[in-house]
Amino acid sequence: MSSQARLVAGELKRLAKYNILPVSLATAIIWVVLFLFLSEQEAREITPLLIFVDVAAMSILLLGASHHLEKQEGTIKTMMVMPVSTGQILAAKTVASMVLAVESAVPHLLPCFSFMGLLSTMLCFCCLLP
Amino acid sequence: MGVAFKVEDLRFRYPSSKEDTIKGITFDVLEGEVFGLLGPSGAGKSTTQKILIKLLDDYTGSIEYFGKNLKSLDNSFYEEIGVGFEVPVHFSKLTALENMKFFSGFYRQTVDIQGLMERVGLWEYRDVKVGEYSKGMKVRLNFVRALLNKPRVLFLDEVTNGVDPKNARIIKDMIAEFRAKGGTVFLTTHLMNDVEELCDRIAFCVNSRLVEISTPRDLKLQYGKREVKVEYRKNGAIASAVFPLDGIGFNDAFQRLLQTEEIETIHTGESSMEEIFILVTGVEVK
Ligand SMILES: Nc1ncnc2c1ncn2[C@@H]1O[C@H](COP(=O)(O)OP(=O)(O)OP(=O)(O)O)[C@@H](O)[C@H]1O
Ligand SMILES: [Mg+2]
Repeated sequence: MSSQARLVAGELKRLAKYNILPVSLATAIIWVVLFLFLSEQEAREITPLLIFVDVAAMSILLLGASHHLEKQEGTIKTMMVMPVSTGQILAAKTVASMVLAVESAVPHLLPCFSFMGLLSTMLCFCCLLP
Repeated sequence: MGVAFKVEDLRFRYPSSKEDTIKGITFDVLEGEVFGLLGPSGAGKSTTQKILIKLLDDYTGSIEYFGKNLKSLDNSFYEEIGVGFEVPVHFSKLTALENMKFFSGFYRQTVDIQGLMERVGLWEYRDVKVGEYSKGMKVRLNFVRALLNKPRVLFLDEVTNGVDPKNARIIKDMIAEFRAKGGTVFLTTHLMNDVEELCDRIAFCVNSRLVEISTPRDLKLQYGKREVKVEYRKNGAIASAVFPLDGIGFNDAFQRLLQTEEIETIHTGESSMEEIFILVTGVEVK
């Protein structure tokens, strides 16, 4: 495995161990459940907002939380004395945040299917990927 | 023997501080030696270590690592050094073994993790999350982490701090073995026992400057007092007298004391490293 792949794998493993992946998945599911109580019209209006709030904001927030934990533990320092560059560490964090965004976007797809049809769902989903 | 680090007129200031934290220090770390950097709290020992391991690069003066400018080295420098930080750093939600496997994965050369962890008595706790480790266990794991890449130069910042005597013994033995195999060690500490036992040469850092670079033996000769201290009982209380060790056999006052008083103890005084530390730095050891 290359150092870069190792860094990403480590990043994802930690997102899972520090309960950041599960938490973000859970919040996404809560949103979706709320959705079921809305009328079709309301749902259509609220969807763009919902997707922005949950997928974008939550993943930024949770990533911030994971960074904060790492800073508290001082593990960044340990990474800096390994033969990897700061750029590689940042790249791994970016990839991990994309995975986080995709992960919390997936549950949204289910209700979207029923309300908006496949095409708009796909469009919507593609917009989310940076 | 080569020179691992050649440091000349090193100066450094943290962006947030008004005064230089390192005020022009010059020293060499020879290949294959254990070099100890000593000094009172806040003297700049950890800062010096951070500069040598390229975590702080905004310094002036020159630092050469095996003849090459430290600033010109790329990340492969980290293949060759092992770093034990002052405060152990691990991912607390991962187990000890997961931590070690993650860190060792980035190096070309790696050691037998099991062997090292067994040696420091942590193998049976390998599947415990580091967050649940005791302080001493974390320190030992920190030491193992520093050795993961078979380093050429080992940096240890207060590596036996908070470890019980038995495990401190193991760590000191491992440092001595590392040196015996040709490894170079840069050690910062204020534990005088460690210094006396491990260091080939020591430098005292006081007020951001180096005041003395010497071997523990020479320091003892230089600062040591050759004398005899006699404690005796007089009128129910303990009194004491000190005599020069040289020519003690012909010292009448000493002889008379032995003949007339009730002697409690007799000791030859050789300054301990602890006393020398106080003499050189003017600061009590913690
Ligand atoms: N990140 C920082 N920013 C600003 N000042 C700092 C920083 N880190 C350390 N200092 C200051 O630099 C000085 C030297 O600190 P350093 O940690 O190198 O001391 P030390 O000799 O290792 O002490 P100790 O024996 O307590 O570990 C101290 O006065 C400290 O307050
Ligand atoms: Mg320190």
